[in-house]
Amino acid sequence: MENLIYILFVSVFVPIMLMACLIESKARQPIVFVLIGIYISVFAAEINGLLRNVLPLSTYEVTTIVAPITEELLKAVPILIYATVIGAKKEKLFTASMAVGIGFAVLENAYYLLNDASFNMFDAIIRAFGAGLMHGMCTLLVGVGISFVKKKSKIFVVGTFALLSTAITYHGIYNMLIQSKFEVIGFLLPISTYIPFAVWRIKNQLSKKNSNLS
Amino acid sequence: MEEMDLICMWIAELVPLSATLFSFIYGLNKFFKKGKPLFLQSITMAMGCHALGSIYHLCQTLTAEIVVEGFTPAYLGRIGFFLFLIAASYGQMDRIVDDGSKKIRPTRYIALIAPVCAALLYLPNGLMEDLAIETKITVILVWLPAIVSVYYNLKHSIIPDLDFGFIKAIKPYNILATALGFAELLCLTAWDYLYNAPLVITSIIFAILCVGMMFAAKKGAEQWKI
Repeated sequence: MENLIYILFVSVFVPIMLMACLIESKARQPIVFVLIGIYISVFAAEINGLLRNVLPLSTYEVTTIVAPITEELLKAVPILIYATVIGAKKEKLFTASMAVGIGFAVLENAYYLLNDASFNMFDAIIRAFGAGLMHGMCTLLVGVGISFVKKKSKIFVVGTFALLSTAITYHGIYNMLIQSKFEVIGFLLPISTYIPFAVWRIKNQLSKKNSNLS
Repeated sequence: MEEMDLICMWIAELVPLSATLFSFIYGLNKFFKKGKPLFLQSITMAMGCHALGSIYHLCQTLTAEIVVEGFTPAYLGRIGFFLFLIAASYGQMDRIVDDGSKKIRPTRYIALIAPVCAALLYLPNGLMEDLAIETKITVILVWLPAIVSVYYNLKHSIIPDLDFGFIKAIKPYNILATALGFAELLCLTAWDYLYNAPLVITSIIFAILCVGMMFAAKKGAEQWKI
């Protein structure tokens, strides 16, 4: 099927966009960032395809070196704009960055599903918990980090590059492991990062709630 | 490859990785609390970034069917490591310790020794015939933030303590951070040449300095608060 990614994009993007127009503004913000993530996914697929044709690299090299760089850079763009131009606060950046990553993963997963006839439930679980979470965690790292570094103009550029380096390396490790004999480790990598983070986040929210009550 | 070479390579892979992972977990545990200075969180992130770079390199060694010449995200781990150190030293410490006055001008000049030495350390890599041009260019990308990082760390190590005792408290951290920057550059050079003894020695020194730097940073920040 030609232009599969565009067909998927229209069928996923349009209904969510129409819903976003109707819901209240507080709930709209994360949905808008999911839509941005979906849009970036199409954009990244095109750029990766272009680079694959232009650069003298194998598919393995493209997936482990080029794709992490293009994808992380593209996912960081809306977060950077949201943080610097709109001046979003830490909590909003947190939601926005996770939403961009998850939106990106939704379309990418659907694309893989439709492109591979042998895709089964096991693959779906691997992609959902693996790639889905990985994209979310990488963008989250950049988003949360930016909320720290944007406080001081002196470290903003250096800090943002450093955060992007971290996210790209993490993404590269996942892509490399998932297509090797150590794919189980690759699958467990995002979950093992997500669980401690989720525990820390819930603990943090509970302690905030308790201090507000007292 | 001989058995001895393999053992040395494994030591050079695993020892720094263990040290940076330990330092990262230690930092997460001690420094990511309310009221802790941002520079402590920056150096923790530097350790995390370096650990990820080492993990990438390790995975590449274990899984790759082909040897990738030139740029890989493993180098980004190193670049991120130095960028986070710059964020800590230039971004947060420099504005406290250097008020831009003329009194500190000699210190600034003396501190230039560090970037000059770091730049000279690139020569063995740049002049190496067996190294691909892509790798040589990639190594420059690591060297650039390293040069800036060692400059600020050396400057903060030798700067006169003008007020509040902050500089004195944080001096051990800065000395260790300068040494750590050079150890990392030597480590990279040893990797390019694949000489067993320098590879093992620089890896072990790097690991010791990593852990030492974290403890020194914690101690320094505590003293400063008092």
